[in-house]
Amino acid sequence: MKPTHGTISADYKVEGGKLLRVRMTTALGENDTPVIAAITLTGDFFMHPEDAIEDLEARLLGTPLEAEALRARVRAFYESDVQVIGADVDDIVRVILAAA
Amino acid sequence: MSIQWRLIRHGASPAYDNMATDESILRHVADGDAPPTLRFYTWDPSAVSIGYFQGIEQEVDLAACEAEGVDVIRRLTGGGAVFHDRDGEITYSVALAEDYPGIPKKVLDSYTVLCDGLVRGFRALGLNAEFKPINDILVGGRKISGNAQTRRFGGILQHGTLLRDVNPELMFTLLKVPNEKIRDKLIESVESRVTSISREFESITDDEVIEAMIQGFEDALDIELVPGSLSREERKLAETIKAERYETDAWNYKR
Repeated sequence: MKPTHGTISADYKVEGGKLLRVRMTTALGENDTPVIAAITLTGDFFMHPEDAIEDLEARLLGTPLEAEALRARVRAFYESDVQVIGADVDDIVRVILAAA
Repeated sequence: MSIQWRLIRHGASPAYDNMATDESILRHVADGDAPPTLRFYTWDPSAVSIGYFQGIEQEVDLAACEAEGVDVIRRLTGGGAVFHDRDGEITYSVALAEDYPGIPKKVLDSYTVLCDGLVRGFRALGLNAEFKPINDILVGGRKISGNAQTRRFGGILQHGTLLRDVNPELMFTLLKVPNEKIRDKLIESVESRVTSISREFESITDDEVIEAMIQGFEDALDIELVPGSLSREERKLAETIKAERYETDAWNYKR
């Protein structure tokens, strides 16, 4: 994979007042589509258990920067044994696309 | 017959001790080595705490905190950045076993139950208090308390603020804001969005507030709060946790 550029970031205000931020780097994957190479999601949300955030970030690696692909990965995470308060599937997808 | 809980009135401590003590109590309660506990404490020196998932450099002006002698710490709990003013806040924490009867399994739903003691406490003081989901308490429509919960080690820890006084200029100097214009807007908005015990009362002591909260928790959870203190084991574990977690850059600069 070829890195595309340096760190990109975005902030996104979730309905109800919580704030979600992303920092990531991208690379060119198969067919030269941009994919997530590294990602950190931060914000004032809650997640239980807390260390599930690492699972979410790991699942996002290599995902194309495209709404449906992202939605599928994030949805699978939300369907696992986790409770997230203050950010839903679409919020995560939106903040990533906002940075891209 | 009410369940007996331990009540600890801790007084003032630095941020690292406060968070380490909360965690130590949580672990002892979860292991069955301590009864469910309600604790009150304050922060000296003043401190900024960030939520578990926040980026420290994104949220906090570290240079401003250094200049003001304000500690900075990452909490075990999620949520937002909070300025804990030494003279502006009474903090509470609740620690109970994860399977404590009557506590909803869904964290979102459990805030209502665990904040009810505070709502009743504020009402006992004569204030028009209400719980506002997800995790706030409002008086007259303005926020007077924020709360955060974690479930770890087999237990539940919820801690939160009882705002005594608010200093928006200082708060938005210590917390990062995008620019001066937004800073001014945020400072201005505090007037309409936030209230404090000082704003609602001519004069009232911390003890009077805490007494009302004790009554509120006893009513809300049908418990009897028995004054107690940390065990020697809890104090020892708190010291260890403080050194190995809360005082380290590895923890505070995690994100």
